[in-house]
Amino acid sequence: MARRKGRVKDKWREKKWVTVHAPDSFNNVPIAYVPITDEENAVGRVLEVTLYDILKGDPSQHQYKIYFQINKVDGEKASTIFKRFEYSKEFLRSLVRRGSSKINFIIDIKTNDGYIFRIKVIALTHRQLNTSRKHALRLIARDVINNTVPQMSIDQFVQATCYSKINSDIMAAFKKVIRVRHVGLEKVKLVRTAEKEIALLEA
Amino acid sequence: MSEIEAEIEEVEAPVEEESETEVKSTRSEPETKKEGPDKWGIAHIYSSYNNTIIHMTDLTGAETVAISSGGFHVNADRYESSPFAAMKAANAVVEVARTKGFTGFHIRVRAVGGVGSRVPGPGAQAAIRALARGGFRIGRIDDVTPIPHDTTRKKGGKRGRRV
Repeated sequence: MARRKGRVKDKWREKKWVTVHAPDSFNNVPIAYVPITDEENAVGRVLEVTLYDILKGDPSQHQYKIYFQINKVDGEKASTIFKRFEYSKEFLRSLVRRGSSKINFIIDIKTNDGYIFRIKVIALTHRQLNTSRKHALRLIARDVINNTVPQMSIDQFVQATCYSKINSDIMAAFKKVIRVRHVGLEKVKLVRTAEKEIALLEA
Repeated sequence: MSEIEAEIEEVEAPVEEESETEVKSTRSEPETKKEGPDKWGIAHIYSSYNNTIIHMTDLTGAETVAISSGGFHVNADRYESSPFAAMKAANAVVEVARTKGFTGFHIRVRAVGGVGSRVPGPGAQAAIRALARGGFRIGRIDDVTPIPHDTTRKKGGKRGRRV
């Protein structure tokens, strides 16, 4: 036991601590301070923060989780890319209620610099909707996303998701059909980065 | 989970001041050599009906800081999941984490999930409380029980487990 402990401690000494910075879309704010042994291994690690941790705005931002992936370690600094945006589990649970419809819509979309994202839109209504209305809402959501997102760069897109700009666009468009209780992006996931997409197309 | 969270709310308030003093004392000893941002970690607590495993990692979850489980601290198999064993395990983890200079952590509680129980076992609460007493700052407390969107059938058959 004693011998084992000694070895572990030595390993720990070798580690260096690096500051992890958020991507450009969040002004490169430092988000974490993590130990790493070597730089190659650290690339690809994912860490989770809430939107509140980054913006320090209002407490309601606690319910949005953002995942960043380390893509480069440079001395004492590690830079990240946006990996995932997600509602927290509790928040999602609190939204869903009896007697109202939940409309989900999933779409893959490419930003103008080639990043592919999978967006999951969730809409919750005041009362139950019939299928034709649901269909109409899904079509509207698709149109809004198809019209706006392909013109955005990755930074713009990330900001639009996190500052719920896309939500309000969809919400405004939904009003033509019916007023809904909540519209949001339940999940936004990075499917492929631009570099990987190019590699895939070449192969 | 909800009751646990309520429990923690109560626990956290008094612990706050306690932690302040504790943190200061720890800072004076091992952390003097390196003054940087606060070192945060994640305490993963996996609590089933058979054992409680407390695994402290860094924020990415890739580097282990300390790990211990209920089974380390008791001899009888049936006590592995008991609150007492969980407390012991948590204290052991706290000890190691402190020597490594950590100042706070987030907690992720997990039950068996999937086809099994979705409620954290008896050790979870005790472990969280012991961690809070350990003098660290505590950030978020999450439930990360894996919940399937659809499941295979739970074992035991149609008529349940017949003992």
